[in-house]
Amino acid sequence: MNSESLPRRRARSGHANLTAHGEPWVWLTASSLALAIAMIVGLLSLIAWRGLATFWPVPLELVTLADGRRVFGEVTEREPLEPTTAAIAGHPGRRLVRTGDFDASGNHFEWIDDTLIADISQPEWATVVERLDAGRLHGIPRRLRHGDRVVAEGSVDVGEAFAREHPIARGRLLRAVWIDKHERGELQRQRHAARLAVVQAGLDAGAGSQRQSEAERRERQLAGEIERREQTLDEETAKLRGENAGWVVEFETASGASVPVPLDGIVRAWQPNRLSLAGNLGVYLSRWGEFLGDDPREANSAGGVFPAIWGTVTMTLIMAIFVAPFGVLAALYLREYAGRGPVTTAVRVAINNLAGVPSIVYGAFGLGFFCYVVGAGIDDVFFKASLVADGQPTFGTGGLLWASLTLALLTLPVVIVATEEALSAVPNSMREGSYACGAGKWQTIRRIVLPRALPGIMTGLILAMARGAGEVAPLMLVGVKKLAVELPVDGTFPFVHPEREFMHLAYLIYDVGFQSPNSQAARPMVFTITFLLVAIIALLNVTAIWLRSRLRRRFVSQHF
Amino acid sequence: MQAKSTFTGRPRRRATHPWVRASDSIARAVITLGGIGTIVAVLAVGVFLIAVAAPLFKGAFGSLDLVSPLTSGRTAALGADESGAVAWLLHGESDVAGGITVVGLADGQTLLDKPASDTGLAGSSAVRVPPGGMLAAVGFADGSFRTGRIGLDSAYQPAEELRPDQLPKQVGGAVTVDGSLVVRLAGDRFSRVSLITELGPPPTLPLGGPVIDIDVVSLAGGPLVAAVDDTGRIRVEAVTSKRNMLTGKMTSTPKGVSIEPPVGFKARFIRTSALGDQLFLIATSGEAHRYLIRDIDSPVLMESFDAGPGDAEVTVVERLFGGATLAVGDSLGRVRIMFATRGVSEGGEAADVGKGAADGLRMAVARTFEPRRADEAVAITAIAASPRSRLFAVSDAARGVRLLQSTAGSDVLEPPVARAAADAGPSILAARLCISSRENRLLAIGRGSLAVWSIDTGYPEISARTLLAPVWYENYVGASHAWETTGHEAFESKFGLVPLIFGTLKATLYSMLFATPIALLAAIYASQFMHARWKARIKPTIEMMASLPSVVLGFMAGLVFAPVIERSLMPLLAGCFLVPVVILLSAHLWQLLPSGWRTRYAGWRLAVVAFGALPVGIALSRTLAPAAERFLFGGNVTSWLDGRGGSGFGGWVFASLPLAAIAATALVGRFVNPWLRRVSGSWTHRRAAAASLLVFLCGVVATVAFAVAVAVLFDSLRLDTRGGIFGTYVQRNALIVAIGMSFAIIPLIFTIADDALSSVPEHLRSASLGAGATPWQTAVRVIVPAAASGLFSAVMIGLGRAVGETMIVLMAAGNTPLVSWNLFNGFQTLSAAIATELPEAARGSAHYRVLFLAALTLFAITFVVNTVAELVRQRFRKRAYEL
Repeated sequence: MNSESLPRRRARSGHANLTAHGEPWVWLTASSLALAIAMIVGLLSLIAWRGLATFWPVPLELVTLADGRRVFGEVTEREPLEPTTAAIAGHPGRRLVRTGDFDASGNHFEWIDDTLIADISQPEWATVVERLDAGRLHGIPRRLRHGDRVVAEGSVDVGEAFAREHPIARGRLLRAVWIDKHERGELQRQRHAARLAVVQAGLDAGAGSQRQSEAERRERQLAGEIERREQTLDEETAKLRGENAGWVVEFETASGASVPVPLDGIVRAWQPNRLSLAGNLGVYLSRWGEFLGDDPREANSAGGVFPAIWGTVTMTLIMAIFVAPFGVLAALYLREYAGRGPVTTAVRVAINNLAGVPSIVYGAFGLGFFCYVVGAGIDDVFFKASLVADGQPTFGTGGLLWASLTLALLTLPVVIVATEEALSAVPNSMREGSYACGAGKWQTIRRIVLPRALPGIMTGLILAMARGAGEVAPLMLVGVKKLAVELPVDGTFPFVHPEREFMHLAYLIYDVGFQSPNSQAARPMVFTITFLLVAIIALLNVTAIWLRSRLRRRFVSQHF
Repeated sequence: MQAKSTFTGRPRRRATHPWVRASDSIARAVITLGGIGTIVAVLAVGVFLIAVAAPLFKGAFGSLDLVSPLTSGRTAALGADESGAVAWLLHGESDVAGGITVVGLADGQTLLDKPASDTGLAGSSAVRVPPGGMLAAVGFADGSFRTGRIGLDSAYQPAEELRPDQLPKQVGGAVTVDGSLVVRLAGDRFSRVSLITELGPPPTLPLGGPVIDIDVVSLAGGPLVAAVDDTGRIRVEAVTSKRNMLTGKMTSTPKGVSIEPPVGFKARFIRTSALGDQLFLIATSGEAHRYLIRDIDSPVLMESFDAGPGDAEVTVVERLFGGATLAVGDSLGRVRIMFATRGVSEGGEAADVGKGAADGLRMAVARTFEPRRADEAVAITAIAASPRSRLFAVSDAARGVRLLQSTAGSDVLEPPVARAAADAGPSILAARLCISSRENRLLAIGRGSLAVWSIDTGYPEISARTLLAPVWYENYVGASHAWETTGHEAFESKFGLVPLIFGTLKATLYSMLFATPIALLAAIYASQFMHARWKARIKPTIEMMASLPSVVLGFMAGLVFAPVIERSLMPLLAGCFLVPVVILLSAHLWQLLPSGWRTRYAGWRLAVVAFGALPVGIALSRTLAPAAERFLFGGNVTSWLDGRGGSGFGGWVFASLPLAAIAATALVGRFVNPWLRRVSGSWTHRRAAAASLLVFLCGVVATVAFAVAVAVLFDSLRLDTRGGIFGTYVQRNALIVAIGMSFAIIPLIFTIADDALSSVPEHLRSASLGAGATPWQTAVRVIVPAAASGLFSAVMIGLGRAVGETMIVLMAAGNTPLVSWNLFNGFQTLSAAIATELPEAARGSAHYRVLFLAALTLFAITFVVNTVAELVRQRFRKRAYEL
């Protein structure tokens, strides 16, 4: 108020005053920030929306076309045409229908122009059938047969009978698959081990030696026993499969044809048009359950991703086990032991740089060094028999161990830098206080420095794990696979199999999204996998942020 | 140790506990060892990459193993077994003519002798066994010719089946056992080598005179053989197999054709291409003709060319491994590499020799190997191609043997000649040469002796030139940069790194152009104009984006965004200009508000932009896009990009708009604003703001007018942006990569830049504001210069990330190794090539090592970029302390 009454000696001219505020430029910077935020929010919400929507049941529409052809499917996309184009084409748009009719038409999807549609209905008993193979089927259940005997006729009765019989048949099938995969697999393993023992004896003691003939005798003996046990397994699976044989559900598809589907070949069937909200939720959760807990089907484009989740988690944990001690050791050395000099500075700069070296370079190193040099060396010394007998390297190719080590190397610089920062954040006064009390250097580090730095170290480690979990380029070189039936950590001795190749969520995105023969049908699945991966990484990040803020609070409270 | 007097003046009563001392030194040892070990391990990555890539540049090496006298006169043909331990010689002279002798290469001992009566080769006048197999063709003096198999067949031999005295003692040694040989290989393995001489049925029609040259290739149906006799008549015969569609039975029918050569032409050499579709006839004078024999019933003369220009005479012709490349040696010591190719090269290293033909191909000389020294211009006596690469051996009448590589055009090796052999004079001047299957042995036969070298060729196809300079590959129009390591032309792998390096730079450049301005401007707003409470929420959100896995971004860019952008390319292009205009316009409108309001609601600017100006700009560009498309690109931008229709006008408008905008801004800042400042002394705020709005609108109009003027000018000069930065649109392209990559780079640059801007000491800011500067002036004139090196380092770190990014370019760039600046075109980067090709590359092969070289290049680029960033950042830190 007072200052206004004083005469201003120099006033800015009106325009200069305006340009001084640079309002247009500020708006440009604001728009950049807005764009950046819109990008991230848009991306994340797109992933979340598409990822979460994948398993929600969508109504089935029976579309009758003008020429009398009928199409049965879920509308997955609508594309309104631009006004000008629409005027030329003569219709307002078109829709993409996911037809469950691959057997007959050879297509999973079909574009339908709106003008060609004569009628759309939503039949109550329209059923989505997820089959074990050959993809989905959309149809209306007509009858349930067992051999020639018709068990139920008409949609309602079939629905009831299906609910009764399907779990039983499915249970039998799962049991048979379990036997094939685990019990028979165990026998195969024993046979293979015996064969390897023979080759090993031959390598150790020479061909035709006594040791080898002894090993051969044991192999023959074991082979006889395995054959007997396999026979019992054969009988059991034949019985299970025999009981399932003949159970057939007949569906009427859009074209009016009757398609028989074996009862045990149905993973799940639901009628989206008559489901209540709770029913929808049930199907939704059941499909999520399968997704999280089961093996993949149909070239990874359906079923679950459990092996990939398991592979990702195991690989990341093993990586953390490698990276934590070495990262901390290196940082401790640099911060507490190494002298302050140009060499230390150079090393620090170099390590900082290595954090920026492209991951694919580490992948090439991993393949060239770990697999081809170290792995081949290990094979040559310990697994020669397997190399000779199967012509397959054991450690001389990609595997869990090499993948973990490669990623450990990749994330080491990150952990070293983070740990160093955490160590240097511990006030020197605390170290000096500890020395003054008579503690040795190691005692000081162990009792005073490390506990204070621990949250910071954990933050670095978790961030490294987040990076490791999402990194896929180096893994493509050192052991990740499209499909690995055997888990890298499982119930068979020795439980951890560091030489096995494994599946990985991030690689699955690349594989299913990019190399799948039927990429459009697999697209929703990719979104779900992406959502899962992003969720895992976000969780790790949030943990790190939470730890960081906790660390800050602790330091703040210690200031006095 | 003597107790020192301590601070308190009393001796210490208690010594440190031994366990504490011990644990102290153990900890020191473990930490030092582990720490240094870890650091060394991490640094070893670079060393290992160098160690793998280095052998590429190792030179070739050869040593003379043996010179063994021969007594049999001229040798008609020469070959070696698979391991290079024994060789066979077909005698062509005196009483042993037509007989075959097998010689051990360890000691020169004769191991087997098969007389002409057993081989059936008596009376042969021309024998050809193409390298790498046993397929052979023999022409006889009576005009007949046959195909067959001649050579040494190797099979695995279990050691247990033989008595110890039947096993050779040293590696490479051979022992005769029951009419065949046992050869000891490395690692205590043995192989059984037997001499094969089988001849097929006679031709459907023999030639009239003695056969003087013959060639044979193996085709799907059977061998194709071409022979010429001393009168110049030519006969081509092939076995064609047909499968009966009903019975599934294969029927083989021999077919043949006699070719009437042009009048007065007498071919001395006859060669076919490896695919059996072309036939080359060459006379000693150099006159040559190329026939298309794809349909064997009707050979067509395609073109005539001169294989030996000047007064040089053609002395040797050999087909190189793989396709249809001929190596032609002449009497002046030159070897010329020639093949039929499409089109004409501009400024290639050698001129075309052919005149063009009906099939659109014409013979061209890709490369000429001159004699070592001009005064030693003596005739080439023999050429032998390697059975597995574009390597070949050449001998001339004076200097002996040389190994050359046709792709690289390099002199690989001149194997040493021992003194004794050199003294023997012409004995080493080879008339027959042979490179063994594994390229580990080189054999030469002169008149009277056999010379054997052990050779290690290294990687002759790789040199700094083949990696970085354009190279003329077979079937290519001229010298070009190419990366092609698999596929149907794998016989001549193309290891040009330039397309990959170019792709890497292209990805980096376009991504940085897109991401850097957004990230830096966003950081300026976040650090200078944003409320701290809001920033505390927004910064972690953007940091979160930095940790999104690149495979997710690649998937979104390549499979989700790419189709959308393909459909709405024009709105996107229009948006690049309309959105900023709308935002600037709304800023000018905002200025019209009373000053008190503006101060009160300054915090809402971001919201106004995000929910007002940005959506309006996007909606506007969607609405205006069709009109702009009609006006600029003749209605369809995609087909315009494809080169169909439209003039170059639209492209120039787009290309010159940014420059025009910069020019307009500069003009306004330089001339209009000072003038306004002078005249606006007494203006009210509102009036000044209105004037400013007017100036802005005029600026926009001027910008557009300027761009249109430039476009009209360049278009009338018949210049076009298509073929430059614009061109055919493919779905996965540099634009998609730039958008996908910006998701990865923006948060990275933003975070570091924001840290740098925020860490400028607060007193500078306060002083500036206190001196009367506005926040904008403070930001631009004080904060940004103080943080400049931090901002630079942020950009450099973003650059480092963009250079090495793998998954995004793998999924969104289309992976086509092209060299073109086209924004709408695919490319392949170093990282994508490593990711896709390294798992399949055979360990230790040239391909494997070149990929490691690519990895090393990436490593070096990022290391340099990051080091520069780090050094700048440290300088910045020092400066920040000084401030």
